[in-house]
Amino acid sequence: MQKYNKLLLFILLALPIVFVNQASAIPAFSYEHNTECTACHTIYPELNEYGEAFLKNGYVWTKKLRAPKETTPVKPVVQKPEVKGVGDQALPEQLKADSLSAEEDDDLVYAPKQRKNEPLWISGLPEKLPLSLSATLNMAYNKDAADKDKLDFSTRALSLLSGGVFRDKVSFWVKYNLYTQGAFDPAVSNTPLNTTAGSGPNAAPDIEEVAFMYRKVFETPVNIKVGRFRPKLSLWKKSNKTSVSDFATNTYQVGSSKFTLDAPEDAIEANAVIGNRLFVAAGIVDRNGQEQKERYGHISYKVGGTDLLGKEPEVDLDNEHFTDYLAITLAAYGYFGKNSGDSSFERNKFFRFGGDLDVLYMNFRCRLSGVVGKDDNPDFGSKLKTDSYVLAAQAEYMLALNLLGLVRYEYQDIGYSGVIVHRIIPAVTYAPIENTKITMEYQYQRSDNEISTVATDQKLLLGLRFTF
Amino acid sequence: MRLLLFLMMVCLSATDADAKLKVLGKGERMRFDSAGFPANMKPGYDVMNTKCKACHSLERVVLAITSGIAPVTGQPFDKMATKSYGIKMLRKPNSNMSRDDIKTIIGFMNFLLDESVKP
Ligand code: HEC
Repeated sequence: MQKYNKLLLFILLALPIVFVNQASAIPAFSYEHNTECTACHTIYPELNEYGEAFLKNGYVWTKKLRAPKETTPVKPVVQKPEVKGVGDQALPEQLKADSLSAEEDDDLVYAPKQRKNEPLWISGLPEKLPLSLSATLNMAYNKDAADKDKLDFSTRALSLLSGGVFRDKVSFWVKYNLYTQGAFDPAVSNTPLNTTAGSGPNAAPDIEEVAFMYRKVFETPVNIKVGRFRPKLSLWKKSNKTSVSDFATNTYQVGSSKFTLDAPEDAIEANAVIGNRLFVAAGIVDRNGQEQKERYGHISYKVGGTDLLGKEPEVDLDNEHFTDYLAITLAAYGYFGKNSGDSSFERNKFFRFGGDLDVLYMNFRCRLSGVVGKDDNPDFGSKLKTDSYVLAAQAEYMLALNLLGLVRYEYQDIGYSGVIVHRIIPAVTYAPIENTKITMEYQYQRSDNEISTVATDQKLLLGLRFTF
Repeated sequence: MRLLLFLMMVCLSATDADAKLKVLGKGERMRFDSAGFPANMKPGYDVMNTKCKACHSLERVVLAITSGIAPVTGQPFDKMATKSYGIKMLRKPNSNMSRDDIKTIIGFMNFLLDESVKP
């Protein structure tokens, strides 16, 4: 009996140790991004309001850490709540301890640093290697295909993605294309742009984006970003979509010039969220073999909805008002550049001005995007001045948490060709699991010259994408 | 190992019989024990058990309430946060929650917050 008692005592004494070890192995607060895709995406990779805020803040949740003094929280975070009962008691305590070990400064505005594993934290290392893969398979059915290959399975891509933030100070983003196949055609595929590419059966692997951003320089709202990345122009990066094809405004090209609004460039950019709802960015781009730098700027403002730091709007819960569900974002941007062809020293001087409007109302979202441009020598020889006018208007509706329907209209008038293109693109995206989605898209395209319709084109696209 | 945990749970629940807020289960089965809740909190408990489980388990709600820290974003989870989280839910597409549901659930979460700091 006594032996039995001793054993019991031993077990009871040992239990907390077992328990604590178990609790610290639960990664409840270890990973900054320990949450589901839908925290930041509608259906990935399209961002929702929180995803936007998270991106604009360099991958840090930046809601106010503390309540204003006059509305002292009923349960101040520094107070240690006594939690009793069964269940995983150690986990809440661990969370609390982690949070309290962060700074206690009353004026602290940004989220606390998570100092779970000190050596890793000191080294600035993320607790988990932030690497992921994204695979894309597209199929196109075109009954009028010129080469009679009606069903084309050939667009495949595999990319390595990485992103994160070191100690809330330096954020980074990397996209490396491991494999891409199929000609890159912005109108019909979302194969990642591969600059050294060509269309071979395995276009060379290439870095698409590598960028570092130093957040909150001298404790100001200004972030400085350097590397190879997509300059902040349109409200949406071209990947910020659920359809297979990209917005024409983001991807159209003029003549032989490779410039698109969404092309990754070697650049340095300063950007900042100002006063919670205004976002500004400006930068310069360095092009090889060219002395003069290119310049760009972006300004956008959001009215209603979650602010750009991810904070909820004030809503009167007793009185319904339609503005409770409405969020409108307006953007304007410009790019002034000069580029040359692969093998010529002829230069093309160009500019783009654009404007975007994003309207969100409950499950409905509407995106409008318009760009005007001018190129003075887009084929690097004939000095044919070319104006371009491109428009895209998309209405989308979230039918369910994992089902989204959209229809887009595009207008593309690139003076160079004398042809005006109209496109109508309905699509449905379904994500049976949050990281796996399938998109069915139909494209109707009509090309007119000044006299008549010169061509129509219809395609059915099936896009499959998963990431992990 | 399971036996040890079981023993531990039995042990804890026995010593803390007087605790105000009880947590049952582990991981995604974590939940509040409604045994001692006043009758007027029943609707809140019911809404939580139906609507809040549509997208995720109650584990994160339990962690937020009992630790005072929202587990995903690391923000303080106080009475301001319950309101703001309620608004977020109201505005989230397809969260399927009415204004009344939200008010009920905010009241219920505030009640839980109060309970969690009671000695
Ligand atoms: C429409 C799906 C959905 C429903 C319904 C839902 N949640 Fe969530 N919840 C999420 C997602 C996604 C997250 C991840 C972070 C975020 O979006 O806040 C989350 C996160 C949370 C968090 C952690 C927040 C943080 O900042 O760490 C809490 C607490 C929470 N939910 C409570 C609730 C409660 C309470 C309800 C019921 C009123 C509820 N949820 C209903 C989708 C949902």
